[in-house]
Amino acid sequence: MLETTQSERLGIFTRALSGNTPQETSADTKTKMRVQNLDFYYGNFRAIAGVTMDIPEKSITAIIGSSGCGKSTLLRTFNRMGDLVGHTRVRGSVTLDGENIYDRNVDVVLVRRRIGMVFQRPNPFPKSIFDNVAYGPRLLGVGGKALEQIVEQSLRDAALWDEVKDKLHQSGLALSGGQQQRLCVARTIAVKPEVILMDEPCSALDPIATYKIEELMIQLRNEYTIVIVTHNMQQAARVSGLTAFMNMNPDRAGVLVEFGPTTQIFTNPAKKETEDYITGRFG
Amino acid sequence: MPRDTFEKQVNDLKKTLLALGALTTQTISDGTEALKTRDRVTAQSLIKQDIEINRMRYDIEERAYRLIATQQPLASDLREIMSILLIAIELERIADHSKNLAEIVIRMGDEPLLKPLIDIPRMAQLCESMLGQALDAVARNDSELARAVCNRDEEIDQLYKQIFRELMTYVMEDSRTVTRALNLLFAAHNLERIGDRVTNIGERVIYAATGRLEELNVENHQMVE
Repeated sequence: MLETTQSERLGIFTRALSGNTPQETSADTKTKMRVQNLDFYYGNFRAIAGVTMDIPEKSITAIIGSSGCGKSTLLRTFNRMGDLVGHTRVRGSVTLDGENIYDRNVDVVLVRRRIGMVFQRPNPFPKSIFDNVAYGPRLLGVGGKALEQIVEQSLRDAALWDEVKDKLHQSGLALSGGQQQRLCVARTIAVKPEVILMDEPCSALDPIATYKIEELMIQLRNEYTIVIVTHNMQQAARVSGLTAFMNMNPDRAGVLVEFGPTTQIFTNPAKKETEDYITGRFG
Repeated sequence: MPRDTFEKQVNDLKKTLLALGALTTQTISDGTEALKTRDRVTAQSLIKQDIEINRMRYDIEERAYRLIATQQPLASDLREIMSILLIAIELERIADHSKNLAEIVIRMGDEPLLKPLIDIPRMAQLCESMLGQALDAVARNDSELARAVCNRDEEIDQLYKQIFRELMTYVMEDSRTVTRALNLLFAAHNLERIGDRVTNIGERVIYAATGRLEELNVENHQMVE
């Protein structure tokens, strides 16, 4: 029989509770991205106000909050997707490995190569599975055997290879929703980004496809820094090490209310606003 | 409120828990009274009542699982439901200790008591009063009260040690008293365990109220065990 002392048993209980999130962030984790006093404007409307947060390397950081609180807008500032919408303005800074991605001399294309994105609805190109994944590497001048290797490895890393290896030249649009989303992940990682932003990547998927994407994220976390926006709080609780809760201030600007270890946010949040939101007593 | 139904279900669950708590508290005094008066009828009915207490515990357990599975409670909701679940288990075990007292009564038959009972009823009274306070702490989600209750476990442990020493002197003087001494020691031991389980309930209240997992009275534990 397994004998344990009382304090060992308590330790096991405590660890079991915190170990539920598949990731622990320790103090010595390197900061990959640093957001400081970030304001984001659509014209005169301030959509994000004063967000400051450090995103640790090779970890999953989740952003939760009610609709319209600026989660996706914040995520898009992380690879300057906001630039693509007219009349937008950014104040404050977002750094990647210490370099402000909003500096004038920064190449925005390079930023987006280093910081890839997966969207809410799977959006494969109307091309073959192979060409979807090969698209980015080809732009970077990769071809021949090397390209084939990258495509295979990316599909393997996206946990899709076994399902598509015999039909690489079929259209990516013929795949199921969950497979299409994993194809989009494969396409994203084919250019070897350092950070992957995911904007509600499972909201259009069924539970099984959702679990596959979550497993995939947990595996990818060893190589990539992942930031995910999700409405599914259980998903944030399952996959992330840190969770950020955003809310709207009276001016309807998105603010960061609480940012901390996921276990703490979901079992014992520090702010009442967070508690009200995650227990569903809000709005 | 967006989660009225859920809140009502949690409140109802807590009410059932407190009802189980009231029944359990009663078993301590019934068991001790049966021991004092050698009342085998009360002892029998206590043994029977344990079936109902076990049923209530499973009912709470089942409802807690259902809430967890269907409502995915988080933060204070999660802590409260988990605490209710764990406290229900502690209460059921406390009632088992009371049932053990009843079984001692039946086992002893007409054999006279080794000595008049003084400290055992005192222990029982303490247990009952601690459990009552612990249940108040549950009802009010009051971590300070829970902590105060747990601190009283020390008194129970001291009484237990005193009883232990006293009974040992009887056995050392006359080894023929060993069975009767062990019956009383077993009774005291069950009450001592009740004190520990009330401490566990206090720990659950503190967790539900504050989110802190703490082990209280570690030293007392190690001294007694």
